[in-house]
Amino acid sequence: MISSRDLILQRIRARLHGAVIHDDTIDPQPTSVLPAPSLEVLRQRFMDKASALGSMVHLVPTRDAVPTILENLLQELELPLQAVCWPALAPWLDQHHTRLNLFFRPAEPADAVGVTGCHCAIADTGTLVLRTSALTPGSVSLLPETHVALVSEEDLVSDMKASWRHLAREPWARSVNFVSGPSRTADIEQTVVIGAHGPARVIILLYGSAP
Amino acid sequence: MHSKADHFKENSRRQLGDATLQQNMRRFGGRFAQARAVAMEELPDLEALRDQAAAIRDRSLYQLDEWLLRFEAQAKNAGITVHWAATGAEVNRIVLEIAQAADVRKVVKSKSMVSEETGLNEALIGAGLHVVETDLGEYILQLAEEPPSHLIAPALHKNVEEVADLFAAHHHTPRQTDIPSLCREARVQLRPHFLDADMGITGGNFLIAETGSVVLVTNEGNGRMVTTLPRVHVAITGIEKVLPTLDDLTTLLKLLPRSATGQSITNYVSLLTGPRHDDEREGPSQSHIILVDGGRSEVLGTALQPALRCIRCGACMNHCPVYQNIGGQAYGWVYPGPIGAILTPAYLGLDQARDLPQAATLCGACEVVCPVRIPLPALMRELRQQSVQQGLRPWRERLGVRLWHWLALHPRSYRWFSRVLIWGLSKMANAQGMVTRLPGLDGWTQGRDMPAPQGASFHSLYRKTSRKTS
Repeated sequence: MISSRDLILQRIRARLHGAVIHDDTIDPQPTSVLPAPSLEVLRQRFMDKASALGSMVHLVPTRDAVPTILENLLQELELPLQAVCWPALAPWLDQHHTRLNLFFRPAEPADAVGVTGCHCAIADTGTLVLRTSALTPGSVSLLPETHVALVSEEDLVSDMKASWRHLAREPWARSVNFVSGPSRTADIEQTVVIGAHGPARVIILLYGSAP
Repeated sequence: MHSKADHFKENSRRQLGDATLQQNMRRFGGRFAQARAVAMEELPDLEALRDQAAAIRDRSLYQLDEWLLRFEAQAKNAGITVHWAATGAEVNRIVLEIAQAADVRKVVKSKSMVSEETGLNEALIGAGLHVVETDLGEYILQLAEEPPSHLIAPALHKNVEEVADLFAAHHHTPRQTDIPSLCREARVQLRPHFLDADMGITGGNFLIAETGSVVLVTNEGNGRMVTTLPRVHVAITGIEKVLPTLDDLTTLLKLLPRSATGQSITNYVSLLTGPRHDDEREGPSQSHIILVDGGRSEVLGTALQPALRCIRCGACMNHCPVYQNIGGQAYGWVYPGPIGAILTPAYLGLDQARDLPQAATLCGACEVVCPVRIPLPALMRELRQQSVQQGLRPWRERLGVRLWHWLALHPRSYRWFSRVLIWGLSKMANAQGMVTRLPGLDGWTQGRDMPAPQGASFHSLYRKTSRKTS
């Protein structure tokens, strides 16, 4: 008996045989000739877009200031000073002395705050690009009610197309997630409600490259 | 899903008579259409982008076998098991086999229209599995035991009171009627299911041939949950969903969320490429994809092929005056609105959905908004033509057209007949000169009166005037 695979391929070929191949005058991907925008432009665009989609964006002058700002922020929001973090962040966050109680592992149901880095961030849509790996588990940006992303200005790219080039530098991850703001639904009477199954709050700490 | 598409007239009459539904459809109104219009203003080159999107989809379809094989090879490389299913029954059988082999008890689902086509839930529940829909709209409908009425907002036809009743009855919790609390309640109820399910089932908005990835475009985060937490992931999608490259995806993602909900991007776009890596502590240990034909290959190479470009944004129904009045469930199968009026007869056979291509005023709004330029009205006309050629129209309609045909070829009889008709209609008119009932056409006069013809016919006027002037 013929397998479904062969049957389907056979049908497709029979149907397409002799079909007029579409005139390919339209190049599906005209190459953009725009120069890459400056960091200031990227930063502003990213902040505007991310805020418009419901993320809270904070500028942090230096990388070293991030742990203290994180501590202050959690306190301000009356959240526990405890968070699950990407294991990849351990070498950085562990060396700072704060009152934060940090766990470097995949998220568990009781975790209220998840802290991640990001692979790159897209200015055009205010999007975080996250890849999963043993050191960057996807659950940290998914299960906790609050997701804090630490984003370096150096990782800002202009658009999704540029993010593919960024992603191609490393082996392809099991899951690549483009995250644009807190989860939402409009399934009841088309009324937008923030906080569906994923995080209800996304906080982005955008830190500069100054030492 | 069992099709009721061949009972379109009864279905739509029932929906039009349902006061609650009518109220809910009025509220739906033009909200999506409005949001789309605003979002499209961000795109300076919208028309060029639509051309590109249509070209990308055509490129996939004209070499569909090659792109599917490329996808299969790349997916296998990434450790995905690729299945092919010619029919819906085969899809259900494959999912059950995977479930049995992996000792699955509980299944969580993110939205999949293809699984609605195959009636997967009934098949899995029939085999003793616990199946939970996790998209909020789909979850509401699972409780209500109803089919979806919209591509992206499946419970659009339900109002908050109806949802409150369903939740109170099924959750045994105090009834709440504000929308944020109901969403919160769904989150609380569904979270444990995500955590202890054995299998996650999703659809696939796109397949990427160059990487072997399945792409999910979602807002709620349930798509990420069901592909992160359970130990088995099964993605089910149509063979037409393959895209050659990631750059193709970039172009289509500029249009899909904007056309659908007016978002510049959805909260989540996930590219899933295989099971967990050896050193990872989470993610499914088995990853499957089922490529479904289910009538699609038969549409290739025919006049209806452009319908396979569809990226399921729902813009055509959001702008359709017929859909907005009768609601999605009147269409009787999985795909409502203008695209459903094409896909249902294309996949199930025209004799199974005779009246769907007639369910349009051919106003053309759907074609104007379609992001991949599907010529929906032309395809409906094509199907109308086919249904005449195949003798699928009712005898009264065929007789009427035949009579008209004969009259139009015989001017003398035509003039005599129109004189009789004018006389007859003026006799039937009321004091205001309106005809309130037309025997045999009462569907037409139910909602409106017809003005009775006044004065003389064009022919007699013309004769009179030309005598005078000559």
